[in-house]
Amino acid sequence: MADGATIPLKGSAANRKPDLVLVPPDVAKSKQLDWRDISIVRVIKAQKSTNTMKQSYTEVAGKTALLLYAQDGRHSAPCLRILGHNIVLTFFDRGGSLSTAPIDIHKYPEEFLRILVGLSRAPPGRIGFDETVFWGKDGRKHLLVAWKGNSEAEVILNQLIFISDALHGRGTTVWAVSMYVPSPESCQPTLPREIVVKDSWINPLRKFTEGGILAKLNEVGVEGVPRLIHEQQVQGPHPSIPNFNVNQSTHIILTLLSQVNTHNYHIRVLSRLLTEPLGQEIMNFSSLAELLVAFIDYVLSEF
Amino acid sequence: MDTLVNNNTCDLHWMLSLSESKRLLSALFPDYALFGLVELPPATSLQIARTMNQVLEALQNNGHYGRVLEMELNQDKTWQKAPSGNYKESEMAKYLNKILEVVDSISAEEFKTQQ
Repeated sequence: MADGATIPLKGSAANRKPDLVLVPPDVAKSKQLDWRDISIVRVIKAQKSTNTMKQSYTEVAGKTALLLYAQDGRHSAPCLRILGHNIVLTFFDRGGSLSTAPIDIHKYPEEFLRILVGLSRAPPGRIGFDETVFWGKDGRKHLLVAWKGNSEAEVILNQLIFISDALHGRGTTVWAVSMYVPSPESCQPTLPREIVVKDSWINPLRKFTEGGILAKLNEVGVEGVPRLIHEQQVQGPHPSIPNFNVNQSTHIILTLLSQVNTHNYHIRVLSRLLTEPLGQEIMNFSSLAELLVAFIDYVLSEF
Repeated sequence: MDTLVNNNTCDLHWMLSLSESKRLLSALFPDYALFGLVELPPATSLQIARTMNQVLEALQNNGHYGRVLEMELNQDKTWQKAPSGNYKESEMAKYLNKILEVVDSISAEEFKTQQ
């Protein structure tokens, strides 16, 4: 459901208002709009010109950065620019951005309808949501992680520790999570294991991954570094092949085109890292002096 | 450039041609993903419940898209009642919601008849 916004929305560090937003129907009816609930941002200009094309792109890029910063279960976002009677659909992801040509809604009604209906009806995975992050029946956010080979385990997200505010690049998100691993004897879940999950869009062409380096450090017994539990590449549905999962990559969308020009697009894949222990937040120190003493102790003991 | 956007955002931007744009839209939002598949009796095969072309035809029949005077063949087809000029954002929101409502009712109707 589309809705107009006349005041800045909640849920973001900056005071910004989109011209138009698309939100799920239950959200639209229930409460004041929040950046965390928005599916799509739209920007409207009275006419199409070189100036408004550039201006609307800058505007929509800034708003998408806010949107991705507010939504930890999302990696990319399509945005709509309405310029007079033309519309432009722009996809922003961690590798770059891709826009359709301006489409005259009167001349190409089927394309206009496909964009409108596609954005409001398409499964969440097609508009940038990570389907391995979801709300559980207990009202808490859950995350699927690979566990022991091909099996998957659900962990409960307790706290968002960090989320990147950059539009492109690694888009790092870090959570504190509880993992319930069944004991081999009883098959009943054991006490929760408090661990850290880190998602980031990494360059797959690099020789070593963070997980690979941690594994080597753990192997030779280096202290003072996190212990690696698992490293995986996150999979998601292929955009055009039904019931087929592929490793999430910024180049999947490019495979839908006939001519691939990767010059302007960074190749990145989504990596998920599980490590422990889960530390205490710096904010938990009662004073700056206490923090400094702890830091001095750490330096003296390690070096 | 917006302060929250990386300085190199424009360098990572790519604008498609019209034909590539149409290709991308069809691949990203195919009819089966938007309107679903239905099993037709006798249950031998699955078929796409609706195609976008059928939805557009229904919208034309309902008077949402077409010529102002249907007999004037040299007149361009347009979206009727679409806001134009300096319209308010809320007017555009209402118009887009109306189109979505009509599409929903068209596809729901089709689903009933095919059952």
